[in-house]
Amino acid sequence: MITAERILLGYDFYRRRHDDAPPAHIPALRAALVFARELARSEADQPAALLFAFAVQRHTFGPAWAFMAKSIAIQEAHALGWALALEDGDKLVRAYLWRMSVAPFEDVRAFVAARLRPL
Amino acid sequence: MTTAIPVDIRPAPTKLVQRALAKVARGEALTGEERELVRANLDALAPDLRGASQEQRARRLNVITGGPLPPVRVLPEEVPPELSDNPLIQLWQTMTPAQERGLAQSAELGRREYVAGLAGLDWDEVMDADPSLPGP
Repeated sequence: MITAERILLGYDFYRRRHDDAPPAHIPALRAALVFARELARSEADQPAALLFAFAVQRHTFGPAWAFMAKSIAIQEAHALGWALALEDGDKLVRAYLWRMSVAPFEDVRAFVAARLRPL
Repeated sequence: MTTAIPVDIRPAPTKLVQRALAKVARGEALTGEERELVRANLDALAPDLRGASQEQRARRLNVITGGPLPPVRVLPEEVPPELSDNPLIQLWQTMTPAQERGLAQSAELGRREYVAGLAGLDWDEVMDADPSLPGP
């Protein structure tokens, strides 16, 4: 699974391009990674677990939380050999991502699994 | 003969600013007048910008008034060599058009959520009123 340090380097780069983005909340970032590792029963669960954990810890990246949660999940899927597209035009993506706190992880796992395609 | 007493029935400026911000939170475009109103109140809306450069102020104003956000796709020439192996930055360079659309949409919704907070609006209520943002 991607490390906190790599996420921070990526986010710092993002912040330089969008200099309005606040610094990352590092304890929340580390807590999200611990939570994601607890949620993932197998390697295949990791993209969904990361998406869910960073949506729950949404103050980690300020207004960029959804952008970063999606980026981290898509990157993890890519590292495992899958393409994952999470368009907000997809109504389920909007419903799950923007109201993730009321969706159980099992639903998010099934939802993400249905959107994974082999690279 | 009676004397008319002038009564200013315009809403207080803060209400007008809140109304403008609420439009951005709902994804609606501001008029030029509304943008100017927000610009005039930028110090109150973003006290952290005190002493910031004109460029930083302009960027924040752009965010708050619903202006175009920076592209999410990263060009290779933007990446310093020491970050070239970062997996997130690689994703932002090589993502598919569908992934790029999804990330741009999230950046936009993140902005709307942020501006809703500035306007004192409950983001859940904004979403509830937006038919393009379905509930759970």
